[in-house]
Amino acid sequence: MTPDRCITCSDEAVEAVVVAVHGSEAVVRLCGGEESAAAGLPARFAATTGGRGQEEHVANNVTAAAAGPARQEEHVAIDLVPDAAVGDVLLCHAGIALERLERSHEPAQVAQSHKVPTAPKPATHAAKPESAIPQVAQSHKVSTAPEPGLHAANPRTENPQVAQSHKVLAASGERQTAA
Amino acid sequence: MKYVDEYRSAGLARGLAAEIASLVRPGETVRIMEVCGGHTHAIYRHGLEDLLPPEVELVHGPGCPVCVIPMGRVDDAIALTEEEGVTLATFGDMLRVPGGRGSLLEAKARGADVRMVYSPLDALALAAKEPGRRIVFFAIGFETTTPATAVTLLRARAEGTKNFAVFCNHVTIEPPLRAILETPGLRVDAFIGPGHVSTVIGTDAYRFIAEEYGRPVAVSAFEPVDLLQSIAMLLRQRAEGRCEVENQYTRVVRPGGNARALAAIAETMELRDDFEWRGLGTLPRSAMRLRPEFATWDAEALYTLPGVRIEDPKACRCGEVLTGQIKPWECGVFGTACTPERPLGTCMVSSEGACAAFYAYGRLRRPAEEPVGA
Repeated sequence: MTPDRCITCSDEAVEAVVVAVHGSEAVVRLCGGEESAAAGLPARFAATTGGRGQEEHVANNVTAAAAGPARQEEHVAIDLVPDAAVGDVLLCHAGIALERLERSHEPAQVAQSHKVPTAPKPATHAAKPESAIPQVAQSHKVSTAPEPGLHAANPRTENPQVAQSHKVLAASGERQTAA
Repeated sequence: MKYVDEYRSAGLARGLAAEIASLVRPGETVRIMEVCGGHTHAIYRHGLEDLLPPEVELVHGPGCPVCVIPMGRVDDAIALTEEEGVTLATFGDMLRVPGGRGSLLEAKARGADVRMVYSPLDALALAAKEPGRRIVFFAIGFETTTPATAVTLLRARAEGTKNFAVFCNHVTIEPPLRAILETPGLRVDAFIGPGHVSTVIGTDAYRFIAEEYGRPVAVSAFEPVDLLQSIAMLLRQRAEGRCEVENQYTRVVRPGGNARALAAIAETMELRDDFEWRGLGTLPRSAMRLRPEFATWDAEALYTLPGVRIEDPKACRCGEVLTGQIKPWECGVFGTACTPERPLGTCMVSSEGACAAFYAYGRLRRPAEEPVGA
């Protein structure tokens, strides 16, 4: 629950990094959670994942927004992603992990798969002076730098889609990120 | 913020906006429906319509879980709170959805035991803590949320929890899409497919839209760059004479979805013969109910519910908003009799609702000659 909405009702899910696994539950941390807490944002993540720490709020009928700033870690059920491991990034909704994100994904790949034209046609409307290509290239360079803890090798995430994206990156001369 | 900031890059967004503009012809109109309410919220929140050429019109679809719940089901939930020893638990926004007898929040004010939870697992935990009461979870949502309820039911069975039940109102995305596609005079050229629902059901579930109805689909994530890229993908399909289901949200959505989630749903639930949707009427095989093997945890098997169909308020045009026939501001009560503080229709309740999203982010940007609520 944020001040203006319930994100479970809104069908939203959030990405979170696994920091520990205990049986069928994982302790997860929102990607960027520190920034949220530092900014004094309400318990968006805690509200979403509905972990063990929510019990007192449920029992007392207190909304997370009213309960104060977000905790950094929450518990989610991993029944649907049973092989989740520390370092994995999970998509969480309503107290469970729905899926694991592919680690190799970066906006560089977004742009690559998007096939932004090398010479954009003259825009009829809302044309901007900037060409997409330099910005995309810049984004490639900036975003492919691996972040500690998020890009450790994990062969379980390897699948044809990842392999394909690797080929695309390799073909384009971009540095291949670990899967 | 990892997985967020990179998809809010202003440079990428401007590049995509320029490409989108290059893919339309002056004077034509391309109408693209974003099915998911989360997309509607993101579009308004980030002002994405301002980046699009006038030839591209975004139409808001029916994918808001709260918005499609009919008033009669809210009344059924209120009736459950009047049963001896029952505590009703549900998600936050559902508390504010008006039924024929008011909302659950108003029922709570009258003394009903209504709790807000963030997960059905919280409701199950509540049942363990309060063995003297039966905790009934008012379950709503599309396929994104259904797996959580399914997992909870499986855990309830495994743990032997008897004082827990589910009032199941989970709905499926395909029937309302078919209903929209079969609307006479439909003016939607392409679809932005839901992201989180697709995590569960996969992209293959939308092939019927391209193959049977000749409309391209791009399954999309929720950040500005994601949405702009999806629009560009749809326009490129159109420009190249293709009609396919494409996946923009490749970082998490697979063609076949999550097999474990689908198996959990199939083990605990089955399709109802029909279900009433707000704005769309009664749609066959469009919602889930618990399987007979889970009758012990089925509130509809444990209690007799009124099951009365309640007509929407005449002034409310949520149905037309949900099917993309009108924009929120074209409803006569928008922003006047119907506001987020006192919603008349469901589209004004959840932030995903087109009316609430436009009220929060879009209404002040409309030209003065088009007064809100006129």
